[in-house]
Amino acid sequence: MVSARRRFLAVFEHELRTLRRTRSVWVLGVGFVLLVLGVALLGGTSGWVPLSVALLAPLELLVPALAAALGYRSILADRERDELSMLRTYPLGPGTYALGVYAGRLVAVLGIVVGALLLAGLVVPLTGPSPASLTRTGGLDSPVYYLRFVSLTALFAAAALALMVLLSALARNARRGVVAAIGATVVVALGADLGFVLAFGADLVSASSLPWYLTLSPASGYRGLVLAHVVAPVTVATEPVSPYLGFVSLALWTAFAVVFAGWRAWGPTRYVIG
Amino acid sequence: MSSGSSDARGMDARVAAAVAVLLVAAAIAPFLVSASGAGDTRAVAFEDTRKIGLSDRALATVRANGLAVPKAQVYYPQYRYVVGYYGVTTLIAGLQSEHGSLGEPLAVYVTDFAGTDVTVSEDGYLKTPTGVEPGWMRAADAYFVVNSSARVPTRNETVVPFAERAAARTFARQYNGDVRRWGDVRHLDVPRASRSVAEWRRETNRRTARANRTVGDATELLDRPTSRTVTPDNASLARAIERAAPNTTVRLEAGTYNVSDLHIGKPLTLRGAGRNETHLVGDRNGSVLTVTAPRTAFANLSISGVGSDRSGDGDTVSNVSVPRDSSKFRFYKVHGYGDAAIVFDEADGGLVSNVAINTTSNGVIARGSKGTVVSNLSLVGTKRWDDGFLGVSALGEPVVVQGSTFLGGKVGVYAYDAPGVVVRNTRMEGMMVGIFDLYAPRLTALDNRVTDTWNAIYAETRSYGAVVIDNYVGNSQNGIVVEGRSNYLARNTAVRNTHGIQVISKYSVYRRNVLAYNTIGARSSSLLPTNNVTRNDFVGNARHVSTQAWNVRHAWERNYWSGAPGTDWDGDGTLSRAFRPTAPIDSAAVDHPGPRTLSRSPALALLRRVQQVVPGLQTAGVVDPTPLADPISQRGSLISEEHNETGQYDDGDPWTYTG
Repeated sequence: MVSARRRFLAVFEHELRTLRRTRSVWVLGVGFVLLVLGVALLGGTSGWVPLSVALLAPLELLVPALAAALGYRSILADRERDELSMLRTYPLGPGTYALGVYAGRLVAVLGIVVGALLLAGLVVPLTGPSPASLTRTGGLDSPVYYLRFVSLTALFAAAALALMVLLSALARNARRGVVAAIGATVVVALGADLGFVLAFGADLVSASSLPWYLTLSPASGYRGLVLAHVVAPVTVATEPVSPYLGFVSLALWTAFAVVFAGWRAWGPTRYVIG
Repeated sequence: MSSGSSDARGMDARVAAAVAVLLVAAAIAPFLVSASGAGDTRAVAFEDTRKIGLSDRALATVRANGLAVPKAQVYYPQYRYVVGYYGVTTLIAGLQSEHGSLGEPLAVYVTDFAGTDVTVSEDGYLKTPTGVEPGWMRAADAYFVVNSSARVPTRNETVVPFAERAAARTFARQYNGDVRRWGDVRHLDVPRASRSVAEWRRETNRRTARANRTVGDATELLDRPTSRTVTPDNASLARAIERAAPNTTVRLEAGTYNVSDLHIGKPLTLRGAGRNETHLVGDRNGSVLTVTAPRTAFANLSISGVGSDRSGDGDTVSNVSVPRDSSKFRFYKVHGYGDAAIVFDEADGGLVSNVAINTTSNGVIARGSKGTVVSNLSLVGTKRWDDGFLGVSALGEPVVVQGSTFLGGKVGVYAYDAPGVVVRNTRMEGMMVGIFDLYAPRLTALDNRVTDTWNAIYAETRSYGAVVIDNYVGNSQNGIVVEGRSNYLARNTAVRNTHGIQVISKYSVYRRNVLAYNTIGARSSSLLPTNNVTRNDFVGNARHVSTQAWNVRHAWERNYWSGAPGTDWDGDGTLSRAFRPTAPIDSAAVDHPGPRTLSRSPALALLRRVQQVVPGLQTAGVVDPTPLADPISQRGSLISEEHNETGQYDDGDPWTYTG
């Protein structure tokens, strides 16, 4: 009797093997690290919170893009090589399969994102202002805030990847998959917020209900969390949306996307995108 | 699948699960740790803070007389250093207005005078017994005595903190004060160190009027009746001076007079036939003319043959007017006791008018001679600065120098320990420092032209209250370097210097200056954003501004920056885009199309918008949130027709500073 756990692990390892063999993953990883380091050097060498703030806006675009690049072929590839129909003959549930695929890809995405951010964190102690003979204080700045920022970014990356895995389950072929992934990146990074801006401008959304709508956008959820847990403690100027709403938003996005992706992969082949 | 690999897989699964749990724990951990209180905010030694508040000159008075000054220190959330304040009023002024961008203070400490036997001296200064060093306490725990008769140098009032209510009450009863707590004291109406432009204008007018009166008084000396007339042949000049009645004129007909260490001990006017006609020639040993009487004037003549002893830096000087153990002794001896064409020695109200001097040492030395006027002097010094010395040296008392020309030598006008020196309408070229103000507050430099120097106009850090207006400084290593605090620099033109103006003082106004075609237009090195830098034109500098790394962010509003990217869309006279002269993209955008294109990138705009969330912690630099679309002054565009290069150049004449 093969337990669900072992079946999950089989899919998970299969994904990891696939990714490790794909050279473009490594290229993507290096590119991402260089971009993050570049932004860090340009914008945030004076402290941990400034570094977080400098990285926040670029990451809102870079993280969905990375997730798209690593996720858009996940389920699609299995299907294109007709591995899906074979996998379906195994005693493997849709949830286990989707979770395995997702977890495998997540290891790669988090490895790159967290690795890049930890590397970028070195910018502060290495290139920050040199200590003078005078008493220096960190003010309220602390590396703890940067670690929080890394955790929150990982959470955002997880949600973005889940969306991309879902898209990969919905797309008919690789070409459509690419288009869908790019579209989703734009929507996650910019489109959703632009939509809220327009809706707010047209009085469709009130200022008091805006925080609830913002949970519909993973990027806004992420930004709200960073403002609440990283920026707000050191400034009196920033009023956080809500310290916990973002967590709920990102968790729901992740769970919904993975479950739906599994259901789609196993379900009848009616492609939404195609 | 074999059972062996199945076991291994089970093991793998447990390892993977353990790793996953660890990673999740690591991700959650930073949220469980409270980072507030990350900074240790204990009081530190005052020497270890970045200090502001009193001028170095006032502090020297404090040290010399064993006076006490209440101090404070503050930890700000968005500043890397502990800020130290001389005077509780300085602290209050800072908290109320000037340091808003640094955030609400994390901790405020003030000096605790309880148990120090603090008193107020006869002249009203706060004093503690020798060797007593008050400790620190939190401001919230302190009892402050306000409105008492106590003061500190250069301040009319001071707030004295005590840890114990009883001690505060005793002090308040003794010196007519009230006891207050921090909540009240924080909102006291205290005088600001910085003055408004209107106040500076009034101050400038007062100084100009005073200088005009001094010059008017001295010019009367030219109207004295003639009691003697000498020619080079008929009698010795020394004898004529001896026989002349006081307050008369001794006329010197055209010709050359050989003199040797001539002393004038009564108020006389020596008047030649013109500086190209009447020549006084010394014996190249010592000074040519030494005056010990008030209201003595020299007019319409030339002086040469000055001794070669540049500074009194030998054993030959024994009669220095300040005591040997004073910190001023060396400065007086070196700058006041060398050989000179004319020496005023405690001789007030003297005049040097329409005189030409040729010297390899000093020109005019005024030691403790109040109201000395040097007008229309033409001085030629040495071509190399280190062969010569001072054009006019004022020690202890103020002088007025106007309408004069200084070529070569080491310093044009030197002022030490002389408050209120005025230098105006004067041209200087080819020396180390044009106008050098050392330990001399309230310098006034108006409408001078200083070129080919190391520092054209230099007021050293212990001074304050300098007014520097309408000067032209060019082709120098540093154009205007005015340190200290509370200075007013307006309408100056700095062209083709290595550094145009140094924004280095505190609580000062830099306004309507033109900084054109310098290698670096302005160098900012002030500690906190206390300066008002506005309505200046930065034209064609290789770099408009440079700044020091430990600086905070300084906002310089409404300046004109040639080449600043952006457009005045709404016609309000300012560009729609903030300009950051110290940021890499903006500073390069000034003369290259590439960075200018990049400066429009939404990525950069995004980066900057988000950076504004934490202003104080951001990297140092200068930002102009409202850069002007057009220059303020016509001077900048006039200059642009003459120059298409930046920095210093060879102007072809021999009057050049070479370091």
